[in-house]
Amino acid sequence: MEELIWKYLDGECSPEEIKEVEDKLQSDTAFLKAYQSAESLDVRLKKGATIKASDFFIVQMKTRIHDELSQQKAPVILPLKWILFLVILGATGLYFAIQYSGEESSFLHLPVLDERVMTMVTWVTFSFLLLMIIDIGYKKIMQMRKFTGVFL
Amino acid sequence: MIQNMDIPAVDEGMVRLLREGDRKAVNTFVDRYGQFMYHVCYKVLLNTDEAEEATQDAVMKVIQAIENFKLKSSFKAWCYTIAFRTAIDYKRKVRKHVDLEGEYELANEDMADDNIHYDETKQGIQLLMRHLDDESRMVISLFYLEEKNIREVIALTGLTESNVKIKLFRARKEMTKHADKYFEKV
Repeated sequence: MEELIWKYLDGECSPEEIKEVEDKLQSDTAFLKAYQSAESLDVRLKKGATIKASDFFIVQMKTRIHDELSQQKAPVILPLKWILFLVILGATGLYFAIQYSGEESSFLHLPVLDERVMTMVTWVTFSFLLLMIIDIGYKKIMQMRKFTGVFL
Repeated sequence: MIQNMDIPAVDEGMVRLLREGDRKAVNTFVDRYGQFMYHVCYKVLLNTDEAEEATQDAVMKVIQAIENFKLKSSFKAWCYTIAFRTAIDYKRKVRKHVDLEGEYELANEDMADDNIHYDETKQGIQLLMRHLDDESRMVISLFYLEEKNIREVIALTGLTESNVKIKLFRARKEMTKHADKYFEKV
């Protein structure tokens, strides 16, 4: 009974169902009572189900959001990290090229370092690169989680 | 996420501007979806102050995560998802447990808030809705917010048509049962 009443109130009844409701409203007291309760709730829901924030809040929210966005720092750390990495990598590569090219350098006379030291420098450089990649990936994941709560 | 709903061209332009960091687009976005997101947050939290905080949080999340939004999907549905989840998270964090009686008191205090003017019907409906679970409350309020457009409710919530219809029916049945407590008999 109630299902048919709500269907009628939502305007989803077929012509046959409309006729059935209208007939019952004339003849069935229990149906009429149930209809009146449902109709009264429907009217109230139309009026009261939606909620609005105050205009003051909306204006205030805009200001707060603009403030928050202005305070956000530009990502300056990341390029600096990359510059540092490239300098270390470039210097190491240059050193290797000069020392182990088999020819005597005519313009740079660098001290010959122990091969173990050079290996260590190389490992440190590549470990730095690996840590940076992990760090960037982790920050991206955390940022997504923070902003959306889920991966959308 | 709803994939088969077209994003209105106006939203597409706004989303592109938001991605470029355009500040005017932030205002447009708040004007267009601020009230809707507040509505969603309020229906979960049932408290003006908490809803305001959650709404601001959700709006920021949308702006910050705008790069992740797929232009083929519905922007409104995406905003709904973020607002709903933010409000649920907020509820979990702020209120571990509030019993129904406690919520009534909270509601009465909240209705006296100076920010929003509630008439008797609005107050009664808000109290009546506290008898429903979060999802049913959301479905019924969206149904009336979208002027009984069931398709829109389906698109926003991602629920199936039968699920929405069942929730609507059960929610209204439950509300009819308690209506006398909050409204004078017709």
